[in-house]
Amino acid sequence: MPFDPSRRIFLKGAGAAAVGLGFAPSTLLTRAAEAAGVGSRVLVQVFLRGGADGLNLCVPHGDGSYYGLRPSIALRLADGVRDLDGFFGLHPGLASLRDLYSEGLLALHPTIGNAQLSRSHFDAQDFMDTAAPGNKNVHDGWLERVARQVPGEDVMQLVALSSRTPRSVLGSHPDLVLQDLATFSVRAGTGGSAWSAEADQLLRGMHASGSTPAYESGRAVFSAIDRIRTTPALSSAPLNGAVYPGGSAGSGLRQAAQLIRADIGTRAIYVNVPGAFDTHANQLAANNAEYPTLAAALVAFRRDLGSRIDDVLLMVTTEFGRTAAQNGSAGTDHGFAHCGLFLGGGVRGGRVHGTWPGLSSGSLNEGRDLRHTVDFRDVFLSASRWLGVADPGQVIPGYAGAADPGLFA
Amino acid sequence: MTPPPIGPRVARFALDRLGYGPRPDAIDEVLGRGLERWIEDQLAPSTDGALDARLRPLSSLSYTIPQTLSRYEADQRSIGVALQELRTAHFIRAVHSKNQLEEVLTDFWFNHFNVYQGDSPTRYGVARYEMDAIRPHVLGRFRDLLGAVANSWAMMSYLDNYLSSARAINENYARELMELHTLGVDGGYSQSDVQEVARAFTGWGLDQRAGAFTFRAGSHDQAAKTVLGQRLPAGQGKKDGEDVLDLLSRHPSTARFIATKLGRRLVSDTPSEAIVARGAEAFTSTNGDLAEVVRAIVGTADFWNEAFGAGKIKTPHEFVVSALRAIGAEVTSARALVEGRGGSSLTSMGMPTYEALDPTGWSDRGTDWLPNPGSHLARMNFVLSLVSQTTEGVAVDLRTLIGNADAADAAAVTAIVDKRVFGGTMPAEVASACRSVGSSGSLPAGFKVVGLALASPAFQAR
Repeated sequence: MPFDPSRRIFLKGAGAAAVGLGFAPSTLLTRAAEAAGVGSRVLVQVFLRGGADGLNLCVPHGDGSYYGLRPSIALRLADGVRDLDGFFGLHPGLASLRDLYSEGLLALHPTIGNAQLSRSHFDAQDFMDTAAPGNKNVHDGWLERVARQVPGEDVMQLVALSSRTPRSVLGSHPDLVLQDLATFSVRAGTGGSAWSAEADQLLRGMHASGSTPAYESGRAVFSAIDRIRTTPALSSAPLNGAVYPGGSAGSGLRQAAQLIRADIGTRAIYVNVPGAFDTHANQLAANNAEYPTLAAALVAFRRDLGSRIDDVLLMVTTEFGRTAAQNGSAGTDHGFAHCGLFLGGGVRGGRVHGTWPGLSSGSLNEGRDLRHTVDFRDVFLSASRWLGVADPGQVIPGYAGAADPGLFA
Repeated sequence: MTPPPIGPRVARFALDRLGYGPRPDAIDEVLGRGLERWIEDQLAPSTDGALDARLRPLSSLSYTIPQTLSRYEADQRSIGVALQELRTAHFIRAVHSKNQLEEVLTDFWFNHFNVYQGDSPTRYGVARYEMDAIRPHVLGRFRDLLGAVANSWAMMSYLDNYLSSARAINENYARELMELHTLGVDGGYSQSDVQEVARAFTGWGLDQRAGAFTFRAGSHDQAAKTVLGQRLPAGQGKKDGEDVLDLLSRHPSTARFIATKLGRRLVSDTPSEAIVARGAEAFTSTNGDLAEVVRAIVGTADFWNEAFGAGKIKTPHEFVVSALRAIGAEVTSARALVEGRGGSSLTSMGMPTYEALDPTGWSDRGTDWLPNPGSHLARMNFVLSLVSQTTEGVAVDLRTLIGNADAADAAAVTAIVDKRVFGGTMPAEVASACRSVGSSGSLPAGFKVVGLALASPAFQAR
């Protein structure tokens, strides 16, 4: 087990003890979790849409097969890969994350997957979002189920920083989906502020009853407007000199930190990062464009939160990894196991987790993909337990869970 | 199936489902023409001189791909101008065209065969893709549409097929061709089929100097292939790919997949089995005549029953276009509609035109768009800004909608909006809020009424 500052070990130990009572009635468990201080914990999921290649993210520079499979796109230490543990290294564009790894706040798991995850973007993203791979009859999202396990029905409990509603938050719990906290109010053009206020009042009245999605969505708009208006901390500047990059990851994590620092009961945050991750061609250029921004956003987030990072578990996920071998276009096609990045006080950091199945031809899935060694649902379950949800069994439908992957404590 | 007795409600429903909603005179026009004749008009688009005149200033619409490429070489900013003009054309057509069904279907099929305009070299071919590969076939044969797409610059580039060769396969197009364009993800193909189809399409490429499709025999895998159990003999060359398109366009999974998707767009987030079965049967029996598939769906009782239901949530694009039509707006630029500042553009609603990154395109399920407080607030703020006439590139003369009514009379304007926009279905709580607007401020009460009505929950569904 890597070194952790003692204070974090203490907090984590208390939380782990509480959730160890998995057989206890859920109310008792909730109370135990609150007593252990997990009631202020926040889970952040960052989703890289497009199927980000894990092998050039967490580079297995100690596996000779990697270089044979990717003659023109494999990365070497000499290319600027930052070594992590003598076998794996970080993509050069992610080098700034090395300090977080040394600090014990960052961990990687390069072989996460599920046998039923599809090679289709659409299906694989849906299956990740619902945490019900292969089952198209599950429509609600896994974070939605997490939110239902947290006491209360507050719209701020689950926030998706995204212009489009991700399936992970779909369901009956009221959630806040938005791109920009700072401009969240009724603004009626040049008609003047009096007209904006009048429109706000009249639109509230119109939406007061009615049970179709348009009415429900309207009510959520106004309850979010009220919560944001009455919480000045949601417009506070980043702390500790943190500087966020532009783009979805930067603006998403900047606002995630505002929500966490505001202490208004937000327990789960989803940050959508659409980008050039579907690297069928010219992968090196695409990764070089995306990764520095992602790393800068994560570094700023950690700095901004200061010691509050202890209460945070951030997971960077994607729908699938990519083929082990490069294709004919200096890119990679849809594969299987993906690499997860985990940041925060909830993480057993400073190490690359999991066992390495290897990249020799005999060890590849269908002769083409890195095999997975841990089911993504076990990662989600483990994260839910860390968060202290009342009944983790409700989070993943029809799945009891295999061994805990040991990523979080 | 005979459509139900026509009244304002049914006319509005037809305009909402087979078009982008009523312009101020449209409900009366449908009532005057008769529903069945109006539908036949829509299934057989005719010349629209007024629309052509509106499009004339957009000179880049006439450029060939080689012209677009050479203009880009002379001035790199030219491609940005051309893509802006394409967007503007998209909105001018959707808002003003009398052939509304053709516009809805062009949008539908572009989205079905989505390409992303930010991708290069895809973007040099996006305008011609919509105008030459998609638009001419939306009421024609599926096989012609599929073939035009497969041979297009934009699709060849977007799904990387131009990079695929016998020595170095790229399976991106092959997979999406089956998953998204034809069979559907559960349509009964395997990873081996994906690889075989990819081999069949090797050699299909782009001549980037000529700006055109080219077949490179030297890059083609000449060996035999087996696709969905059918053998493609060795040495066929380009015919391999065309054979695959034949095979896929005749497949029963394709018939159901296309019928389901059209049913979802035109009827309901969850189209009934009757709609899917009738649509698929028409697809199969007419050898993929897309006008007949639409006619079959429109001919079901389930289609017309929707006129009396809670409606289908509009996508942001449908919402914006329907609001522009309702208010009788004149569009001359789409820039502010798509990317305007202030959190009320299609970008803030999550649906910037031509910018769906993924080959899946945008979701046609309304419930994937609402509830969503951020996007919903952007919808409200968009229409509230629209009535205060501050949206660049959009001219609003409220007289087009309210005629000679007193613009200060909230009750009178509410009644007109109910009749001309909602076909008499405006809910009581919406009408009562609209009637109660105050007269303070610079904006006449009637303008506020229109803004509130379009921001109401009732206008979020079609």
